[in-house]
Amino acid sequence: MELPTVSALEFNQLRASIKNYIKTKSEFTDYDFDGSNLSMLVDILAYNTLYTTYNVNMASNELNLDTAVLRDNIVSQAKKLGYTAGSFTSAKATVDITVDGLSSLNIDKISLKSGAVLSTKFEKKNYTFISREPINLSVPAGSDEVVFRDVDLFEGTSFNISYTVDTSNEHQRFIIPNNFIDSESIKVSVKDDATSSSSIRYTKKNTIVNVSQSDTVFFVEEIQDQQYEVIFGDDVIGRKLQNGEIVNIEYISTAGGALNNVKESAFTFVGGIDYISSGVIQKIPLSNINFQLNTEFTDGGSEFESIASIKYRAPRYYASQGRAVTTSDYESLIMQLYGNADLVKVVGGETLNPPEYGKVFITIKPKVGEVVSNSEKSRILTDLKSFVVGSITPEIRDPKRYTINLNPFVVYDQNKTRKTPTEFNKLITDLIVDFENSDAFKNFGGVYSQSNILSEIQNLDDSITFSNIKVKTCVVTRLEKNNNIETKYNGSFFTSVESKLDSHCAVTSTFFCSPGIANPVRLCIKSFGAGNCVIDENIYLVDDKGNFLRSVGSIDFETGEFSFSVASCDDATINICAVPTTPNLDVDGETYPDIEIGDIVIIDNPLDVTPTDLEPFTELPVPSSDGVTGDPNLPSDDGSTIDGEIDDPNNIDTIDNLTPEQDPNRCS
Amino acid sequence: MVDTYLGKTSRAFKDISFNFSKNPITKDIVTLKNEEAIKQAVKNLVLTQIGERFFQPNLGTSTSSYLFELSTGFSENALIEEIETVLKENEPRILLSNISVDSNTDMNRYECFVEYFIVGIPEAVQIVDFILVRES
Repeated sequence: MELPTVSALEFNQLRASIKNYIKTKSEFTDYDFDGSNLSMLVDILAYNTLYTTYNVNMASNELNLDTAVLRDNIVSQAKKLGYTAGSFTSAKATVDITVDGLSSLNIDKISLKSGAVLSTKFEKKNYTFISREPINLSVPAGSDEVVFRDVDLFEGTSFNISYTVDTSNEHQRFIIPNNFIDSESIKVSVKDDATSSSSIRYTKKNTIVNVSQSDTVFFVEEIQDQQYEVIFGDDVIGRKLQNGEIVNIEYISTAGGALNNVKESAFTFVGGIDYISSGVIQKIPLSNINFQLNTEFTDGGSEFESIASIKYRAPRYYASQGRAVTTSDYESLIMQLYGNADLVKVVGGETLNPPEYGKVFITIKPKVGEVVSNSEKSRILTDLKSFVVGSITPEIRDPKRYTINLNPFVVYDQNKTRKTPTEFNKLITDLIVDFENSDAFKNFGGVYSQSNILSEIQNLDDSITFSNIKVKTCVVTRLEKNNNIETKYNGSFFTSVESKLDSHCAVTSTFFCSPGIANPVRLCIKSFGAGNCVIDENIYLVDDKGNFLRSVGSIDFETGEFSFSVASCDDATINICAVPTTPNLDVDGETYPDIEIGDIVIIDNPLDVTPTDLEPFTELPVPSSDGVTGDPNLPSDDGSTIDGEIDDPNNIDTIDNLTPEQDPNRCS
Repeated sequence: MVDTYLGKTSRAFKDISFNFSKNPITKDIVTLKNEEAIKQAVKNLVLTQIGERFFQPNLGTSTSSYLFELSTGFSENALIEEIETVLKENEPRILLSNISVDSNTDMNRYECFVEYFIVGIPEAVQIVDFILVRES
């Protein structure tokens, strides 16, 4: 007798299996006829079996990290690997708060209240940055001004919840009923009973290492529905709570990474600074309070960790075993320590040229913002210390961004499709966005393959007869103020670039402010036109009037590598752009590529195509200098040549009868 | 039942009864046999609505939808066609002889008669009649 095959997952297989079973019985013979009552019963049995096998299959899937799809189960599997899924984290800011006008008040102490200190607006909503503890400051006799230095502020709102310990309830849990908490912000204090005026502050621990039976510690775990539970000791690992004790849990509910990158100018002071005068609490007027962000912008905020991220990081974190030895150990630990990390690349100093032994270089690209703030870098390095082995010194570097500007050009036959140019435009945009999000591209050392994109555009519709992409690449460089001293910068386009364009510059940067120069300046490598054989590999500083001021560096057009030395009035970011000769690009391990979609040209009549449409870019437009000034300490130039500088004899703007070389043989 | 008709030999058919009553002698479930089993299958096929059976979206008829349309000769013809199609495709044990549908507009119903031979049994014409009426 054939037994039913319960492993089948298809309805028809299950039904056939049940039929085969009934065939062995002589009582019924009508199982083969769809209209029979028995056939209906067989259908119901098969349907029931199908759902049972499906449920068993799904349930067994949920037992494994690789195949689970429900967040609760994935988090639970990750817990077994010692990995705690990342929660929302608050954006942070460190500020100095200056209070003046104190001499007339005749006081010896002022205090900054805990709670909201700064407020800012984001997408029409108000957000606050709070101080978690009150800060008292002595006012020296006769002082008119005091400063609260390095006050740590966290974005969000502070909440607390209390539980009374009931040891008779063995299922009592200490759950924080909020999905938006920063789990790192949880503070726990325990009182003996409701009438007690003193409490003991418990310490948050991530591992049981060095936790004794009497230590007042707690652990935090994500539980069902993305909520968090505070877990206490059992008198073996940490102190056990006693009946009647009051547990007070304080936490921050936050908006996460949305409030990263907020600059000082966007904040308003909303805090309270009090003093006591004649036994009465008085407020310092807001007009006497000033604040200053110690970092350029807020940083450190992030969203809760995604399912894909938990699946990726948990096994790697387990493999790192809580110590940083290999580069992948560092990568998984950094991902854990800095929730806003999008990409992390770690290289050992010994692999560099020249080698730097004893160092590990970490490059972090944040999810929000261009770079990690200095305060966050310090925090990450401090947190990393407990994992680092031996005398290794980790160093965090800023990532380099490489922008690829794509301008697709597509010709299609309107008689072969019902799609409109707008639909083609959307399809091409979606296609490029998909490519940008692919693992091969969106990574340090990502690869741009133009032939891939072109072939996919060609496959979009049979009516497309021709496609081309004009490419411009820009290296994003952060200039340092560096006390107006010239700093040397190196960069690369990672491919050979065009040296002969029809514009004045074969390579140009956006404008920036340079000390000692009254007008905004940019970097420019001269181009003498497509027909001219003269090539100048010098990088010049050019002002907004077109005057070539001086040579500040050079480029190798074949390799695309360049270096220059300039001073900058501020920490500005400039784009240095060129037209690559080869449209397939492969950036280095410290650089991540980024796509900008420029103009998408869709033409429905092949007769409208001009020869220039089929060629790469033949010129680079002069960037706008709007919003950029010259040295603020100098009067703005009226348009004439700057004193002390000589007009460049090769400036084609100033040469009256320049005739570009037309004979290509002259160049050989 | 072993006989020949149209070159085929019929065999015994056994099906369960949906009233699930108990045979007083054998104490087993009551079974439908031969002609009765086939008659029940014919009714089942005609009265099964399309999409009703699990994973068999094309099995059955849409007879009930005709009950909500104006009663015309077209509806009757369409009903006949549907019944014929479903039986020809899914009930290989019968050979259709005649299908008639009479509308009884006063009672808001159709009276259906299906006449068929059982393949393998030459002499007996089987008749199944049923009434299609709107469920209130």
